[in-house]
Amino acid sequence: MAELLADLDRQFPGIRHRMIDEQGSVRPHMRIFVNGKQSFDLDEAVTSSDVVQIIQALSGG
Amino acid sequence: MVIQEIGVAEVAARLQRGESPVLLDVRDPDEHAAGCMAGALLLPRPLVARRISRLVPDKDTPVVVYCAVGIRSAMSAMTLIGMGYTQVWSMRGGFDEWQRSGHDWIVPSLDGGAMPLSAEQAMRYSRQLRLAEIGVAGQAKLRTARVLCIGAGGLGSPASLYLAAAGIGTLGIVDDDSVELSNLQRQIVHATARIGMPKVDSAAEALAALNPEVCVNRIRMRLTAENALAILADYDVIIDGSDNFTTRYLVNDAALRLKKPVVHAAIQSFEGQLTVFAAEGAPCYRCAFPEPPPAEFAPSCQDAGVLGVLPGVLGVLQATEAIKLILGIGETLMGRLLSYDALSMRFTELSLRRDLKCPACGTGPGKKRSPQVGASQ
Repeated sequence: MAELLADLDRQFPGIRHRMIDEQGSVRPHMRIFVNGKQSFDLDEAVTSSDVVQIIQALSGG
Repeated sequence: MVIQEIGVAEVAARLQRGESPVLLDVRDPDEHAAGCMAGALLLPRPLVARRISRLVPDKDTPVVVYCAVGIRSAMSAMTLIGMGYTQVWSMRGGFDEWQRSGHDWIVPSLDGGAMPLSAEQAMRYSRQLRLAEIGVAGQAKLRTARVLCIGAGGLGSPASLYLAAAGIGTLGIVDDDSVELSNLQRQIVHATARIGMPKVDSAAEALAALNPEVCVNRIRMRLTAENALAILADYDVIIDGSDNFTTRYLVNDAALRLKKPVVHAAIQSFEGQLTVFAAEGAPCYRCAFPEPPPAEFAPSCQDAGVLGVLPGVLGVLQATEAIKLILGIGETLMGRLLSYDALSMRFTELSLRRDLKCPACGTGPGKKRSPQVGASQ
């Protein structure tokens, strides 16, 4: 997962900082899901067939 | 053997004249429950031979038999004539023709007692009364239900319209804004002619025009930590269609305390999220999102823009979940977050986890201090 986020940051510079804090934890307003299940562990292994979704709360109505 | 047929107009005329033939409905019970002729006796076709003598002991009693279109009634009439009944007619075209011709009909109550629905209500809700999951009993539940829409905006517009159309008895609408021109691209409960009018009044006007039977409570105020518990307490289901995080946390905390289910939806640009936070044992809003994003990462619809149809999709889904909750049917989104991307036209289901340390609903060791109702963090 950490590698995936690093790669994402290479493609979209600065995006990792929006999701991960200085201590390396997922920011509390962000949520990461692997194949629909919530993940809190950046050491979690993911494969090329896994679907990773990163979302944050929306407020619009 | 000759079966006499009678047209619906002639039956109506005889009833009008004060004649009182036995009206024998030989359809199945579910067809009868969805609507029948006033005063009809239900005797499904397979039971006619066995039970008719108990229902109609005098074989010279005039009997008009009807079914849906006139086939089962003809066969039943044949059975009755074969058993010695002397005045039997099969109603041509059946109940379908009776309804098409605009004659009065009713929805019978489950216990055969007083009518729970007027003929007009029976017609208004006829398409959902036919659903086995709703029927007369379900419609009665909808009629006694009280639903609160937080916000009469993009989400609240379609949600309140469909809830009113479905016959929800009481709809509360909380909003302190007035209708603006820029609302009308998505807030379809309002209208150009009502620009400047308080949204609760504008919505009440539209909902009354759609279904005058619905009682609309206009609550023209902003939901605050002071009034939230008192406002939510009067309702069975809460629809969160608010437009800011402060109100969303407030709705969560108040509803948790009152043990009321919240049908939550939120939108931005081309994206939407939908779930149900339903009291004990399930994740709440703070479990899903413990903190709001920093303001710069969470622009409002005003700043970020929004596809007008987007809240339509999400708001209609909110109404669907509310109706399911009221009726106790199907499987709600409790514990599941439905994420919608209008650009790729994909719905994705994400599994939400209850946080035992959640400050609002947690029960486990290490639970954070309970926030005041509505504290943003």
